[in-house]
Amino acid sequence: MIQFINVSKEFPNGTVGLKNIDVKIEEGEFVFLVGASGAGKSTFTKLLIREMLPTEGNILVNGKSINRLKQRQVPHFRRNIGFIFQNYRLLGDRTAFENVAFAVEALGAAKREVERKVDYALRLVGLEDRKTHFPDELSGGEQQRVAIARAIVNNPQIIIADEPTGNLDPETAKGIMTILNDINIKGTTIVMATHDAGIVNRASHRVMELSRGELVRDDKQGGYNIDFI
Amino acid sequence: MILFRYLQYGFRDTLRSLWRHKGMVLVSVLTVATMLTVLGAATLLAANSEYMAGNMEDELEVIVYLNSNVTRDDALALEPAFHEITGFESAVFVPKEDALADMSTRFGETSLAEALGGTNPLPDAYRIKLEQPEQIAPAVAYLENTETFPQIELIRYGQDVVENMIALTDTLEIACIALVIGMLLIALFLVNSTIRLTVATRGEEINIMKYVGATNLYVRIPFFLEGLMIGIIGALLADVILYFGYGAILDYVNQNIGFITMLDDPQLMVLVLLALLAGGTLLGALGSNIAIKKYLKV
Repeated sequence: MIQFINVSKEFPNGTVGLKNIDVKIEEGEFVFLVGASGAGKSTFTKLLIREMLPTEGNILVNGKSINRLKQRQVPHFRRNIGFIFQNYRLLGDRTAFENVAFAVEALGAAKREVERKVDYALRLVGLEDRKTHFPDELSGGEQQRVAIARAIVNNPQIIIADEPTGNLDPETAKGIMTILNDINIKGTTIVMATHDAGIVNRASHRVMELSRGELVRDDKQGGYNIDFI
Repeated sequence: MILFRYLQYGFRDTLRSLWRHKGMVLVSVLTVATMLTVLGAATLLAANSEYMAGNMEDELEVIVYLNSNVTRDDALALEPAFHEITGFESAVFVPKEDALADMSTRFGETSLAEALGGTNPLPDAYRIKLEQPEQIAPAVAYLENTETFPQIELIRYGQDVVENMIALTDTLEIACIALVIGMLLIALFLVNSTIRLTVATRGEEINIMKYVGATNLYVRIPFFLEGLMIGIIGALLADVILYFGYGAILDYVNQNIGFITMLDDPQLMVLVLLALLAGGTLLGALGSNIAIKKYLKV
């Protein structure tokens, strides 16, 4: 599904974001991306959503090179990917329903289809009764659930989550992980960058550890640290 | 079909956004309105300056006084010769009787003719008008030729007035063009800054839209419509201010300041108002489009 072939990314100021990354993520996998700040996790996710291009190497998604996508093809490519941010990134002037709806409207869907899809996505994350609330009327966990609903509403094949539990208390984080696991069980591939050792250790999914832009560990069922048993 | 839905959602989002960001919208509308009002006022000022300069030019004339020994027939026979002057517009013969009567009127009830004991010391004269003030000096040089015009005694044309008038008209023209261009540049700069500020506060929104796979067209439509509406409302506001403001100034000047004649040209006014409306619309639509460009590169 996702393949990084000898991918390197060097920024104009000389900083190395990623170095010779060679990995393959299969369809339906749940992969944790771990590593210290500046290890290259964000560079990895940004390359994956085609926010930037690698300096060297090739990235394939569903067998197609995303390096070769023309700028006008990028939006269509991104519709196969749901993105979840650490700070939720909801539009403050829109209700929970509207925040999820615009991801469907952007595809040119009819009003009825928008309503059906949004209601379904909000129901999946347990927020059907909060859809008329604005972000500042929701708790952190609820806001992140709206963000998840927005990410899954178009039924993407891949979800990229960048520290989705970073701003949440452990109990709420557990709830978010339950939702993400449910989504994964239904077949969606999930790549999640995280600092939360507890979450990684409890889940025992595949763990890829980055350090200074290099892939230093890739365990099929690993923990946050190499010595995790 | 997709474009139709984009427009449908775009209109809804525009109205929602105008309402939810009403403070920012108000600032943008007022900026557009203020700048267009100033620009329109500068244009009307320029038009008035030209108009007044034109009026003063129309009043410029060369007065040719004839020798007292020239008979009336000879004096009248002179008129066709003036047609040879470059830029000749008209020549009006002023018989000395008329000149005396005119002078008597200015002196009030006292009869000048009586005071002068029935004699008329004034000469016959011609009032010659030319098309341009620049043509006066060569015309005077031509008329001063005593061989061609031995009948002419004296030529008066207000040399200082003519020279000052030429200088003033040129300066006014340059100043007015500079004023209008300056105002246009300031208007463009301020409106662009305001739109940039409006868009910057919503850069996050554009960013998120791009992350969920929105096309540039989908992102642009509400911003384009919003800019368009802000431009149109601002321009209409400027039009109303200019229309009623100019009307009020015109009335005041006509009633209280007799020596100034302001331009009262409804056609020009309509043209200026329409130009401002078009300018405002274009400014709003293009401004927002240019401003969001950098946020689309995600």
